[in-house]
Amino acid sequence: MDSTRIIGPQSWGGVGEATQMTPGYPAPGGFDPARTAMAGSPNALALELIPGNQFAHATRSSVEHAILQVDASGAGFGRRLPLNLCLVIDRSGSMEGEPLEYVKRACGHVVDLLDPNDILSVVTFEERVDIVMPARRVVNKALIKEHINRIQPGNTTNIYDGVVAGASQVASVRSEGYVNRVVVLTDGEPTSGVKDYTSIVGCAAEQRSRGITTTALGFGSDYNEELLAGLAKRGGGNYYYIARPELIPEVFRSELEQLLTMVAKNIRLRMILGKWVEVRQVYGQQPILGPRTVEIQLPDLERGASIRTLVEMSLGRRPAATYRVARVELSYDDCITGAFNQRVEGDLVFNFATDGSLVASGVNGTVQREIELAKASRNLERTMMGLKTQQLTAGAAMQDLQRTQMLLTQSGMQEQAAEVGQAIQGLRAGTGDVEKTLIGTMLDIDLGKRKG
Amino acid sequence: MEERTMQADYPPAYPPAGDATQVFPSPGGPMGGGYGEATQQAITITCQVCATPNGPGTAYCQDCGLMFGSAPAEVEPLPDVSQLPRLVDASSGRELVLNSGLNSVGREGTDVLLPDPTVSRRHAQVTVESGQLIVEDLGSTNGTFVGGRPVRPGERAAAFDGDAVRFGSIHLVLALPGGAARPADAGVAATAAVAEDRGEPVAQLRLANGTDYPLYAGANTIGRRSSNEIILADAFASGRHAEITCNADGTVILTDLGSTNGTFINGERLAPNTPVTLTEATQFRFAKSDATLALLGGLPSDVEATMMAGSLEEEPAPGAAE
Repeated sequence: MDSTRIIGPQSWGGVGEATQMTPGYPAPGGFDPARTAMAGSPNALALELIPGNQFAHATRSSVEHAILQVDASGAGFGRRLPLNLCLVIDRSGSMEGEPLEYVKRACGHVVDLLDPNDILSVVTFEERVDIVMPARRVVNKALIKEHINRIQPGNTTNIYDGVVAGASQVASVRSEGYVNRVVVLTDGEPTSGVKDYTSIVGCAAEQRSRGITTTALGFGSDYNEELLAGLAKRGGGNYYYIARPELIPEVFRSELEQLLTMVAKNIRLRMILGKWVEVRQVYGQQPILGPRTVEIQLPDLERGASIRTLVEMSLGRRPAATYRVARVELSYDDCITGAFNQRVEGDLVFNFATDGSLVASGVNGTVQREIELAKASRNLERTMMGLKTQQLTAGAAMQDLQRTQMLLTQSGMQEQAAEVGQAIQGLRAGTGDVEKTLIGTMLDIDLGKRKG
Repeated sequence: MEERTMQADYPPAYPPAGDATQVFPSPGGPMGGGYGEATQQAITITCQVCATPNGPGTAYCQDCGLMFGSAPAEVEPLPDVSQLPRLVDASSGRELVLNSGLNSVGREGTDVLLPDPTVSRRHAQVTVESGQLIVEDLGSTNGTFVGGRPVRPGERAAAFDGDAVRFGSIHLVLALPGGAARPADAGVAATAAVAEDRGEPVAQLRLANGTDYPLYAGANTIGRRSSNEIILADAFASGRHAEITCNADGTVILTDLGSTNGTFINGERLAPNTPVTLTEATQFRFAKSDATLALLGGLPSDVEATMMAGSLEEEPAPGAAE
């Protein structure tokens, strides 16, 4: 495989074994330019750059892809950064009974799992917002649970004010030394206060730029999946669809588990482009484009997780030779050591050849599959639209979904493949939750994230 | 760092420019290349492709990215991008080169790729023919504009060197080397200059710190980010905080754009994205920035509203500023 791997300082010996020379493309020092090793201290994150083709056209400009892969190592056990978590709970009338009881139980589990170093706040919203518990260290667990158990159902759903109040609780503690997260749970459409998508999602995006990420939990069949998926995407957190009340504690547990094993936060990729190189798009992302730079913000990564960012570039014609088309810098805050602004670098290298047949032969299968996956996300979007507008029959949608499921399985996105499987089941059973599941799948594909 | 084996093969692969040769006492280079740093005798390398001088200890040219030693001794001449027609994004400096013939413009899989939500998937097409440039809109949602004038679907609008070309909310400037500039009688009233020249200010915004900002007819954006027309040096202000629109009939409209710490009128927080008319007695505040509005000309001079500071108790937690 032709890829750039960044490994520790002792790994120089490994370079030789990775060498795979291409006739006519000499590399100085006898190492493969497409497999670069870099020195550095043991890093929480590793960067791997995979060109979509070993070759590019020297005689004309061409469109080529590359994967920028960030892996959170399984190593690095030990002390973690404390959490600064706010649970923002919908206590509108529709939550009355079982749902709210399960939520309270779930919140109780969260309290049990936290340390005295962690900070927790609990906010509820209906028409108005209540600070059930302001941001405090988790010392007296029994007292905190008592507060949580006093939550009563109210009337309408004012999500915006809930999100704002949750974020300001988290923001009341300096963010640097903590993993900061707001977890919002709702079962309905916003019915009071600020209701428009742009304002609510914009609030989460604004918080993210201050280092506070937002996870959105949608419960039941009446919430607005586009709003919650938007909250999670722009907020840099997760989106979960919770079909039944008894699943609420499990989702809280899984979210907390991820937070407690966080390896890196504030993760950014920066590409410094060579001459005659242009980034056309970064799939599923809104990158910041400069004249010769592209910046991409990635979600926080837990231990063992990895994330693949697919970049489409236009490479201009040039004299035949080997070129670094981009230098890639990865920067992040290490959640284990607490060190800020850690950096890892790599080179994205293509061989520019005059012989077109070389270009045809150099296609990388991994990158090719990732391009297919990006298409799968668009297909899902189309299937969902088709279902919503009823232009697509359940049978046709099922066929579409089965194709997508296969592609996901082949690309190692088992969890997402299972979700699509669930959606197929849902279609068969005629339940209306297909979109709620699929929008989360789309989000995951767009982010390119894989669990460890 | 200890010596590494590859250094022996590395420098002789290309001819170092004689006069630029320098001896560096210590290893290590400024570039991220990494492995070149083992070279003990450091040399300034002039790139044989783009003639850029490179510091010692680099494996790739810092400009064109050539891996030194990988190009043949004789290098063919370079394509000169500066002579090609292209669309320039002034805000980022990005240059989108246009091929001769048809160039599709849109958000997905097009020749000119503009990944922006205000651009349609198939937005427009640009045809380059013998130094002439034709822009056509393909029924986009947010429109295509050449020289400030909308291009109607089906219309073939000629664009000239220096014209402002807009797709959705992406503003670009056309560079057509050797092409003619827009003739004076081309029949387009609004030209590229419109974006910059908004005429005389119709009102003035004075912040509590004494700075005055002109308000022009139309929308004036206010916020912390530098992309705003009025930039608030207030850590509590949002990137895009609010907008003041001065209408032709003399009314002034204030809209909060979903700011985190709010826009306040008479101490009351505005609902986001809801326009509110400013009257002479209005007292308003962006996050922690108090401001004064003065209308210029057209209206009596007593139409002036003085803004007062709101009480600090209303402020959200200050940690938000971090």
